[in-house]
Amino acid sequence: MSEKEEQFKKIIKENEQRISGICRYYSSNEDDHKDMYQEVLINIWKSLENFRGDAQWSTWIYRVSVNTALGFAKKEIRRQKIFIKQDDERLKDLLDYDDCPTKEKEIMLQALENKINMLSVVDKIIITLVLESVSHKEIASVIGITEPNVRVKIHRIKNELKEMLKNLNF
Amino acid sequence: MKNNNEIDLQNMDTLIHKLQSKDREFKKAVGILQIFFFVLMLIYVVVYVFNPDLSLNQRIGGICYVLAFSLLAFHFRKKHTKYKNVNYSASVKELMTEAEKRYRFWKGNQLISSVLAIILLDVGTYLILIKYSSDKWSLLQIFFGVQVFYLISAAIGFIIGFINWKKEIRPFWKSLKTMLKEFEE
Repeated sequence: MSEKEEQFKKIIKENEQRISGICRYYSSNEDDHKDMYQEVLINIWKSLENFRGDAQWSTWIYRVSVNTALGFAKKEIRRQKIFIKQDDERLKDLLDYDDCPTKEKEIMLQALENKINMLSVVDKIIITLVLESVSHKEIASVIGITEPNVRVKIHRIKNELKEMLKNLNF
Repeated sequence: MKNNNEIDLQNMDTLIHKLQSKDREFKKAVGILQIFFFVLMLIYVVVYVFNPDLSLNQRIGGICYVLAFSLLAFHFRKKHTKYKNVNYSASVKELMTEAEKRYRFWKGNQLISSVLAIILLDVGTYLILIKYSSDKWSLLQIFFGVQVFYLISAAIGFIIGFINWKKEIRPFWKSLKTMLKEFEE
């Protein structure tokens, strides 16, 4: 087994959940998720030589995953729509809303998903990383902006989403 | 979702073999392309530079052709490598900035290479055609004829390139520019 192959396998094994977590937000169904997951693996393989050790492996993995999910390195911008799952407890923690019956929750999540998809691409990336419990420092490094800027953006996004929930009486 | 990943991990060896074979194919393709351009250059050097039947003007013209083709080959190779080796591990902003530069209509280096190649071809053609000057075709007529030919060719190339860029790339490039502005907000 070559050194690259060994390193690749180790990285994927250690970061499987991170990759899957990001792919989850950018895929509408399991097939799409599987395709994207595979595409991330391909790009990790291609980018392995570029790892300079100036960031943690987790940050590096998030960068490759987000960049692949957005697809703007190619000639198309796809999968900019993100998908919120019903069982997203992190979203509940983030926006601090009360639990409600399934039917109402569905409506609320749909409204949230629509609102999130109206945010800018940068804000959408931030939301997905916050929902993945990525630290502000890492988010800053993944996106390429400063940590204070990340904090300001998160604060603004949370307020916008909370305001929307308030208007919907949740 | 978990199941999908398990399947992917089980198939990782297959994926790694595919990736390794793609790497090998890419290296092989780049190698073949380099050999192809090298052979082409040799042929041009033999036909246009070392051919004993040619005049000095034609030899200089041949050198201009060889230089122009070498420049174009170098430029296309660089472009191909750049597209192939997109660094996905850069930050989102870096990758987006690079993509915005890559998909501009006018790229500094591309413009310089294209203009230089056209000038070299223009000079080369003129020098090669000098020997055909006669009572019917004066040197001035040949000179203007060559200029008209290359100007029209460059204009057609420019128009086709621009229409293609406007249709295929501009919408994508514009959305990249909009997204880059969002980083500053």
